[in-house]
Amino acid sequence: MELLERYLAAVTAELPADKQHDIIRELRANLLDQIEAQQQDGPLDDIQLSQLLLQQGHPIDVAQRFAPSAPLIASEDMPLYKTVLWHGAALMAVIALLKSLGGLVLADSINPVRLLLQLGFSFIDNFATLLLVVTAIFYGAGQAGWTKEWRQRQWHPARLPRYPLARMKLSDSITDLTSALFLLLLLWTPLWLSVEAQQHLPVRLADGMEHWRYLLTVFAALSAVFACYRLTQFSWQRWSKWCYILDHLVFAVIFAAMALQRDVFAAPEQFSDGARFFWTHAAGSISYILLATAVVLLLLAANEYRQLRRL
Amino acid sequence: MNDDRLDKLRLELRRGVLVLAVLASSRTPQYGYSLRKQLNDNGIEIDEGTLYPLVRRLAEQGLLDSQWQMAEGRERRYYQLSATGAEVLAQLSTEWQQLHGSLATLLEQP
Repeated sequence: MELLERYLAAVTAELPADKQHDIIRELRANLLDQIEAQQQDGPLDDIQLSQLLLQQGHPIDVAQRFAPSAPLIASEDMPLYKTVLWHGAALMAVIALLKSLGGLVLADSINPVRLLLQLGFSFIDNFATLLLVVTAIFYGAGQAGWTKEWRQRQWHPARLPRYPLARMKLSDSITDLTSALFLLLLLWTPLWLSVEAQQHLPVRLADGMEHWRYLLTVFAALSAVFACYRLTQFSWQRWSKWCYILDHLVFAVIFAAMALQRDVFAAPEQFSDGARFFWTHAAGSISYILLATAVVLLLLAANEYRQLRRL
Repeated sequence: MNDDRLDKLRLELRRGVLVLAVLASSRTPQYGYSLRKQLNDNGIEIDEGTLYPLVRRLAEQGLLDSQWQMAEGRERRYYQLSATGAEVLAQLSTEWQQLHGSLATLLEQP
């Protein structure tokens, strides 16, 4: 019987504290009945008892059958959960890269191994926080029934797209939301970077160019709100497609204007060797990057317009 | 089809009617082992790992009443159909009869 008590103790350890007493009391009674039924020719020896307990299953499995654990994320919420995590991970990777490059600017010499380690640890640090926050939000929303309510509220056959092209992809809306949030993060480094780190950023807006920050903030915020709205929709309407095209065009115009204007960006306040290297070799390319981004946005807008005509 | 897949399908088929079988067997007071024996004797094989948690769940849902009693020098938890359980059993029985009739027609078709 010592084996039985050891088995029950192992199951107890896997049960929630508030259910341990009741479940083990019942499990013991059931097992004793089974033992009694089998010992027609005398008490069971340890081998027979072991065999009986093996048939019951692993203590973890037994505990799970009596008191099943609720999953942190419901299976219906997993696609959205994974999409949010993937996009969040991409955002965290870019932020980690920027931080590491900032560290590179501060350094007197370039050490690739150190850079990779910094990049890796910074990404893991940020992603761990993101994972925790996103999981907590999904768990809370799932427990409160909000995710199910959200799915039910937005669902109606009449709202389903008539043509494949009219289908609003959830992943596209999340990508756009992530991009808008990333732009806001870049624009407002003073809110999340230390003063010292800001002084060593390889690029900053020049004095008198603050209006670009405010202008971009307004449109990035509008873009984020529009992306949030699209998260609740199934299909494109003509007006929403027009808004999306306009969103692309506005950013294309702003980036092109910034690329064409001189002295929009300035060198860091504290000029380290790394920053000097950057400003000597790469500063001129900022205009080209902005111009290239504007061209890409114009092409995307043209593609969206092509789709709009088929709606 | 291999035996494993057939076993899984058979298990799935039986799982649906287990609640009905347990409720019907609990018209008289039963403890875990006696309930399992009664089901087995009537051709419904079910392992302890499935039956005992199922019985507890039905009791938590109010379909079975339960009571600890001393018998043969040992305590046992006896389960019996509650008033709500009896109503549910009647409804499920009707449902089962209709389903059985429909299935019989379907299965007789060539």
